[in-house]
Amino acid sequence: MNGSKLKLTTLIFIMLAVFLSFLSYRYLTNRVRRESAILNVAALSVATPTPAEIFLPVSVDSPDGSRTLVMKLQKNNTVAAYSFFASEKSRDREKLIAAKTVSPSRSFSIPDNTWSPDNKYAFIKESSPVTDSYFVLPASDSLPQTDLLNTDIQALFSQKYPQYNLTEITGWADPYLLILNTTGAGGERGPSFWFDITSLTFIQLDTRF
Amino acid sequence: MEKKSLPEKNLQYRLVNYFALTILSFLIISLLYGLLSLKAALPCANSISCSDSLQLKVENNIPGVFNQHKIMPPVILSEDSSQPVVLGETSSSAEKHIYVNLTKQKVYAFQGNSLFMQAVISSGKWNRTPTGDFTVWTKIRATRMSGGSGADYYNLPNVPYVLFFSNNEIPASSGYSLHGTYWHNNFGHPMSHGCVNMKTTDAKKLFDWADNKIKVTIYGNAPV
Repeated sequence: MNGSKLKLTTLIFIMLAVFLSFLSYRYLTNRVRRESAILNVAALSVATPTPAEIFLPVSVDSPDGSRTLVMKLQKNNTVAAYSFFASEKSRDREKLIAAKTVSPSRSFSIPDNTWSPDNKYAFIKESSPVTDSYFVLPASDSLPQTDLLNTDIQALFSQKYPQYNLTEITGWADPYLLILNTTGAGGERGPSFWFDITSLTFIQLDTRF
Repeated sequence: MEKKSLPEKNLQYRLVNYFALTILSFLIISLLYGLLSLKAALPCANSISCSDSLQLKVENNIPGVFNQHKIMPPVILSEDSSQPVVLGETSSSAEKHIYVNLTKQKVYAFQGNSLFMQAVISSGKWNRTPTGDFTVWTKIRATRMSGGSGADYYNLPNVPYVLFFSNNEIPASSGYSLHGTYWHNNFGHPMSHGCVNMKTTDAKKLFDWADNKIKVTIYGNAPV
């Protein structure tokens, strides 16, 4: 092989190597673009969460005017998040005392007589198309640790007195007793009960409220 | 005709006397019983404090009793015990009047045709709240109310913002009043021993607004 033939062969190899490198580069860059395009499409196909709608707070004052229970709601098409705050007029600050997340078909409300007479507890109502539930929120520091917050009074009552339906909790008979009205299985007016929040027990009454 | 002897006459005389005395005693006992029964039948909002005291009484840091539970009354400061300036005074000379609707469990305060306030109440559950036209005979910042017995016994100091009312049929001594309430929160439903229970904030507003000798009309039928 003479010198000029060697030069030509080397040149051809170099040109072939450059050409192959160019092809490889194009192939790889195209693949990355394709993959990122696929990823973007996949990302777009995930359900976009609806922005949460924030509702105006609802509040109920205690009968002596010293405390306020405030309910705040954020809701989208999948969940409704409720937050309950207790505030004192003298201190002008809110404290989160409970948060509950439910499906949008359920809703919470604050009854007018929510506050216990000593302003240490408040009860709330959870409504659904089927039934109403009631919960008691400890709203003061230094209260004894209980499972009140997670105690569904409706469910507890149904277990204990399946022959009656709890129709309404009207308010507080004293700082520890809630007043419950009921109906019988046939829809007739049933007896009234007290629910003792300290012992989580029901007391059937002779008097109807 | 045979004349009766002297001992026989005496015996007859004594028998007549005994008989007359028995009849007289029976009449007196019946009269006393009737009077006592009449007095007992008079309604009284708070059976103990009606006879005890219907006057200003501020007792801070003394627990009360209700439903067999200890209840702490609100603290009433001395400067808060004085007679308030009457609020809601306008140039209007229209008469102020309080209406209590037992059916709706609501109180309305009017000056002429102008509504000053309305609020939910709790009327009599264990004793009936009397209906009719009344006049407030005294306004008291706070007093003790007690009554009942056994499980129903209650003794509540510092009952706030009391407007005692009466008329010809319901005397002042029967202790009926509109007042603030700190021992229950069941407004909108009958819950009292005959008085008109109000939220303390509403009672203060009404108390500060009401004139002495304001008229009160109570009407309707409380839910049973």
